[in-house]
This record gives sequence, C-alpha cells and structure tokens, in this order.
Amino acid sequence: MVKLVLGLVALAVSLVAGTARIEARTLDEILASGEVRVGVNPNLPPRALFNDKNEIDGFEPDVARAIAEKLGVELELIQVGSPDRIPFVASGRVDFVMGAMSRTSARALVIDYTVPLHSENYGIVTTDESGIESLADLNDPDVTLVQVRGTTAIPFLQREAPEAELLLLDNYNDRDRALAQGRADASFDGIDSVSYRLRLFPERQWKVIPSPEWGVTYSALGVQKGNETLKDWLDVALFEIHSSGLIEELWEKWFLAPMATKVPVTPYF
Amino acid sequence: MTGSFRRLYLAVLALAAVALVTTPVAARTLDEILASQTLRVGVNPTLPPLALFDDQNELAGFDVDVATRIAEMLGVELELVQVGSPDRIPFVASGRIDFVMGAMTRTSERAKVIDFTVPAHTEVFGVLTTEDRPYTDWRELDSPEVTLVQVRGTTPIAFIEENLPQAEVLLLDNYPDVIRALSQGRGDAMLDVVDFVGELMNRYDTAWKVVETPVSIYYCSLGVAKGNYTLRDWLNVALYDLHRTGFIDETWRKWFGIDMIYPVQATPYF
Repeated sequence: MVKLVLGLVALAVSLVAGTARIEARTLDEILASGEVRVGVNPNLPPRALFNDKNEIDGFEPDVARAIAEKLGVELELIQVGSPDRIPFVASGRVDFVMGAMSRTSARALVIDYTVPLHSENYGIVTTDESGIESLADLNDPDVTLVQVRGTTAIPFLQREAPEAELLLLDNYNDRDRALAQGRADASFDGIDSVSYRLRLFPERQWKVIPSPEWGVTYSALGVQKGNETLKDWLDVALFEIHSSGLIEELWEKWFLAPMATKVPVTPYF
Repeated sequence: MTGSFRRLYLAVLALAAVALVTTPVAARTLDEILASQTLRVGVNPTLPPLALFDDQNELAGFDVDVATRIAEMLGVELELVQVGSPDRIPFVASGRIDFVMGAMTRTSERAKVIDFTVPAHTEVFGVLTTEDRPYTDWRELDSPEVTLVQVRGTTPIAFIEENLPQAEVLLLDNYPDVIRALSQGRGDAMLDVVDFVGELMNRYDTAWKVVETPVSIYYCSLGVAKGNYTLRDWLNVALYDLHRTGFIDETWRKWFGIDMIYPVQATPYF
C-alpha cells in the first residue's frame, strides 16, 4: 500500500515536473516576492487546526510565523492533506511543507528535507489505576488494548503482547472515549498529541509511558528536491529557534506536555 | 544622448545590476580554484588575534594560520585579502574572494546572502569574573551590589542597560585597563566576548573564572558565495580534519593564550 502511494506520488511528481515545469522558488525569489507559502495539515491537531475564528492555527503555524518573521516576509498558510502534501511541495505550489513529515528514504526520493523540527514518539497511554508500567505489562489476558483499525502498531502488539485482548475502533476520537469510559485499559500508539486530546477527559488520572524501543522518528520541513538555497537557510533558522528555546516553548503551548524526546540539536551542520 | 539610446543604456545597466545581484557567477568552484593554483581568503585585521599585522607588517593570526593550512591541503598558493566588517560579505558574494573569515557567526540574517561551512570556532559572549565571586549565571549580575567593568563605547553596554539595569558599571578606555581593574578587585565582573581577553588574563596570577551560563555562544564558520556547494562541501571535510587532529584547538591556544572557552563539538555526522 505504502509502495503504491509512493508510486502514485512519484508519478504525480514526474507528471507535474515533466509537463508543468513549476520550479520551486529559490530563497532570493521568496525574499523578493515578500511572501513565503507554507503547507500545513489542519487535520492533525494540535500540529495545525482551525481555531474558534476558523483560522488555521497550532504548533506548525506558530513555527511558520517565526520563520516568516526571520525571513522578513508575509506568511501565507496553505491547507494540505496527507495524500497531497508531497505533490504540493514537489510542484512548487508551497515553498515548504509541514505536518509530521518524518524523514524517510522513500520520501527523500521525491522531496528534500531540512534538519529535524521535532521528534515523533510512540508509547502507552493508560490511567494510574491500571498498574501498567511498561510494554511487558501489556502481555496479559486481563489487559484490553484499544487501537485504531489499520494503524501500524497493531501487528507490533500481536507480536509483542499476544496475550492481551484487542479492541479495534475506527478513529482516535472513539479510541479516546473508550479509554475514558474504562472499556479498555491502555492503548499503544503515537503519544505526542495525547495530552492535548485527553484534556477533554480531566476526570481520569492519565498516564503516558514513552516507549523509545519502538523507535523515535524525526520530522523535518520538506522542500522541493534540489531547492538548496531555501533548505540551507531553513537549517540555519531552525538551529536558531531550537537554540533559543522557541521550539520547545511552542511545543508545550500546543501539545500541553514537553516533547518526549528532545531533538539532538548540534551546531555542527 | 538621445532618448531611445539613453533608454537602451539604462536597460543594459539595469540588466547588468540584476546579473550582479542575483547571479554571483564570479564565485569560483573547487575545480576552478584548483586549476588556478591560488586560494583567495578574506581576513579582517581589525579583529586581533583572529587577524592582525605582525612586526614585519604582514598579516598573521588564528584565521591566517587556518587559511594557510587549508591552502596547503588544497595544494595551492594562499592569497590573503584584507577585508573590513562592512565589505566582507559583498567581497565573498561577488566572488572577489573564495571564502571569508573573521568571526563570521552563522545567522539566518547573513544566510540570506551567503552560505556557511560547519563551525570553525566558537566565541562566548559571557561573564569573566574571579574564583572568589559566586556567580553561576549572567542574570545574577542584576544587582546594585555588582560592579561591572566595561570598555567605553562597546556593544555590551547597551545589553547591560537593557538586561542588567541594577548593576553598577565602571567604564574604562580599553581591555588591558579592564582586565587590570578586575585583577585588582576594583570591580566584580566583565560582560563581553571572553575569548579575546585570554592573552590579557595571562598577565596576572588572578584565579579567573568564566561564569557557567553565558549569554550566548556564537558559532563562527567560513562564509562562501551562495550556492558554491563544491567549495563548501570540501571545506566541511577539511574543517572536520582540522578539528579532529587538534589543529584548531592548538592554533587557538597559540593566538588566544587560553583554550577555546566553549568547544565546537565537531561530529563526523555532517
């Protein structure tokens, strides 16, 4: 499935590149135009969302604003979705794209990446009363795990916790509600947004246990393949906003918890 | 000049200006430098001991030693070009020099016009005091009990006025006087780029201390023309060698009289 999607993406990119020849804008062109165009996905709260005034807001728009300010240009936020975000940047309709863009070798065939913006972490979400402390505690017939159908953690759990009961639901809202109602003991999935999501259920004593053994990935900004002038500048700007503490500050503002794994920022790049 | 001829003339001028501004084609690639047998490096002799004029009135200093070593690694002659703070970026952007040195802190503002290598060295904008003072963070200096000794007319003074308004400030004319005053206990601390006073500190037996939490650490790189990746990528490999073999640290001690206060933390993963 992943291969098929990437194949389609590659096809779309080659079609766009071959026929439309929309070149990415260089750093100089962005500076001259007085505007930077950034793609964000408002279906991934609190990375990006529509706020009370129906405006795009969130962690990534705040980061994009800080970047536009350093460039000294206006910010135009452009709504992208998971399937079209790579074609948007590959075709030059946005200057760079955000939205949990884990740096993978498959994606790097079609776009280029900056240094990392943030980490992505998996772990266990449970409550104080469950007594669950580690991945090993999940492998127990008395434990019910609630998971979202079709997500990557399920085969992992079938292998690592074969004794546990599995309750499969259609989406994360249902998953959260099942946990809050005590219909399951725990869930193993991405934990970065969990404090933000579970703020809706303050009556429960939530506990989040990161599982770095699952593998931490790092998300970066995606630019059009070969747009070196923009990428190199973004690397310097990201180093500045990591070093100043701004990234961590914005993360905690939106995700309501510290980043589970710090980005290992180094000046040596 | 007739009207139409003048229009043409102006158009040609405008075109030339655009060409100059947008395409610094004059920047030489690594191959072109190798073929020419000369490397042109900009150094700024108003920033001793990064660069200075020695007793024979020749350019010398930390940057000059590093540039000399880099030219040796390339196997070409070194041509040193004197640059000043206002013209050094135009010099490299227009290709009159291959790269520029002189405390080129890598900032997003400068990165709009030139590209940078990995860091060559750091500079610590922080607090120099003596072991008998208890400070561990520069913010602790915001107290009427504290006397800062500073050089008149330097940039840290505005920073102190804004961020440490409670501190007393004693202004002296130059760095040798400031370091003498601190060694004599006539003040508690100096807030400035500490690396540059190492030679002066060594003149006294004072137990000097650099406060643990500095205001900023500047990472200084070599600046190349925007888009000159063949040169930049080679320089990154060369700089890693100079860090790894201890050449940078050794040369720093030779010129600054002290170890680099904050390490570059070179990593092979670049």
